[in-house]
Amino acid sequence: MTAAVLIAEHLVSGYAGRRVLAGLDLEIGRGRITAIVGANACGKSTLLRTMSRLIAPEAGQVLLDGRSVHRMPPRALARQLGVLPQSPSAPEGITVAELVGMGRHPHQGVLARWSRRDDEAVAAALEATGTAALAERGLDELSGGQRQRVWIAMALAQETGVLLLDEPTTYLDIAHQIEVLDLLTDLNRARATTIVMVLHDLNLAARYADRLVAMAAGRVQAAGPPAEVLTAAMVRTVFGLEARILDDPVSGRPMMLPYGRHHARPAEPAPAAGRAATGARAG
Amino acid sequence: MTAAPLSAGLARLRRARTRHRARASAALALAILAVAALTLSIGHTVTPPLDLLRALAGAEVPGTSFALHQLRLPRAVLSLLSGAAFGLGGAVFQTMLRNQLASPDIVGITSGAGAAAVAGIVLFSLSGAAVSLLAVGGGLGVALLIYLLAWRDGVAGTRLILVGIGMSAMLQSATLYILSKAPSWTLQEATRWLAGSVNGAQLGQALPLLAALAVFGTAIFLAARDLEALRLGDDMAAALGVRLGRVRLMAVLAATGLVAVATAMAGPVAFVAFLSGPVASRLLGPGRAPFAAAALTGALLVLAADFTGQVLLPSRYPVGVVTGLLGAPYLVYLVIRQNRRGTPT
Repeated sequence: MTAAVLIAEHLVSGYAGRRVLAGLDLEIGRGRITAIVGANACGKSTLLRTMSRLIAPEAGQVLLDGRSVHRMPPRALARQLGVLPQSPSAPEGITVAELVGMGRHPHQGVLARWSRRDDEAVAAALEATGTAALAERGLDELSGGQRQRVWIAMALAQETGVLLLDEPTTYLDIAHQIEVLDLLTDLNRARATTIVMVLHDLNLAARYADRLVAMAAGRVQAAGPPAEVLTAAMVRTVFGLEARILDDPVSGRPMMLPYGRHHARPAEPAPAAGRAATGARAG
Repeated sequence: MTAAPLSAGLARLRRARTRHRARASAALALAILAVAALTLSIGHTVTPPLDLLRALAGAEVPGTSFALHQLRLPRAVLSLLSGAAFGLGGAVFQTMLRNQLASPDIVGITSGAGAAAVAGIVLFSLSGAAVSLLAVGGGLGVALLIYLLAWRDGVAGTRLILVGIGMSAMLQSATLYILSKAPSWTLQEATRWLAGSVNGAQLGQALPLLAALAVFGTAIFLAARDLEALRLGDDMAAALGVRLGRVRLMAVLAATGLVAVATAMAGPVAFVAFLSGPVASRLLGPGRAPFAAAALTGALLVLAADFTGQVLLPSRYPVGVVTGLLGAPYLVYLVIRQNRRGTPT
């Protein structure tokens, strides 16, 4: 495996007295796609926000190429690490080109004029995300999927080697979810951008991530290739849910089917009988 | 399309927008000149343009020089500078908190300056510079108080606005209480000041305003790009490398300083801080935060409103009455619109 680009060491973090991360350790591989999954309130977003310096940890540190992100000058960090928060907001009436241009902020000084380099970066970001035709449109006129691609374009214009995304597929229909995840994969392959994203959908996470990180109660429960991490035992521990794991016939990655209290076929034995474990793909 | 023509196209687009913004700002400046010329020419008597120019150049023109130098010029200068300070201060607050309702005259900063000044006039029989200092102190005090009360894991716009509106209501009742106890000789002075007025303006009042515009204006100019980024939300701005705490504190201090000094000099001229930013934004287009244009708009608003109050209306009204008439309907419109959408603009 390639060396880690981003390392969280014994991270303790949270909000105003509420501790969310309780001594978390994690390494993010360079040039990889990492998906972080876990139940609501397990600390996924807090981890992402702490790694991207949006909140300061109480203890521990986050190292980006060996340097503590909380000690780096913010602008220098913003040139190396991009963040797309959950449901960002844009000023009313702003155009796509103007919004994507905001991604150039960390590259421009207080008095620096807009340079050709900035135009090129914005153009490249629009091209890469397939939003060039929308450049003059207002952001409010776009569909949810287009808008998300524009936000990703803005993060791309920032030209960072690492991109952290907090639930980039929320509120999107399934076609747009696939579109966004395909786009991120393209970027990862074409630009070798390291991508770390929080995802809710385990199956999409398993399909698109090189490495899956399952979190529970502020700790990393399991981390590794999806085939090792997405097991019935993991789903039970992390989500408290019985599930069956199959091979996804489309991608060959593991795929999770939850048991609920209803709608299981009569032929299907009760999950508690340990049947779920037979579907597990341990190691 | 390949990237090279695309980036050239983007550059053209950007230059076109910059030109449009420059033209809009130039139009504002021309309008200011025109209204200033009217203000300087028309009063009890009407001065012909040539006499006006000669008198401005320093020549002694009988029947004109006195009115111009003692009455009209100070009035125009005070209107222009206080309007610019209100407009710029308001736009900074609105941009930083991503809400047009977050203007200093809505969240109680002008009420704070007003209450302090009225207390000074009525309770301590102060006047002149002492009242101005009290007003500045009152404005800054209220700004810091709101900031502290609204602080919880950072300052959230909506909470700050609600705390500010509550604060504003309390301060206004305090002001009314003081006024109700006021002896008649201070009452008139206090109410005249509260209405917002450039009556009895003196050129000396321009100095503190010029100083405030120079110092705080420079601070805002230096922070302008970070304030732009704040329009995308605190998280996104931080992700772009903005030092949130530092920029916010500097912006609050500078904008409050501007508004408080302007209030000290011209009284709390209603709604100028609130209106200038949105009007400037409408003129320039939504792509950028309109700081310089908001200052120009504020100057134009106060100049035009004072001219209207003095000359165009059947009897004479202080400038604050006219801007109040303009601003109140817009406030109602904005509240209804935000209520409908359920999100701040």
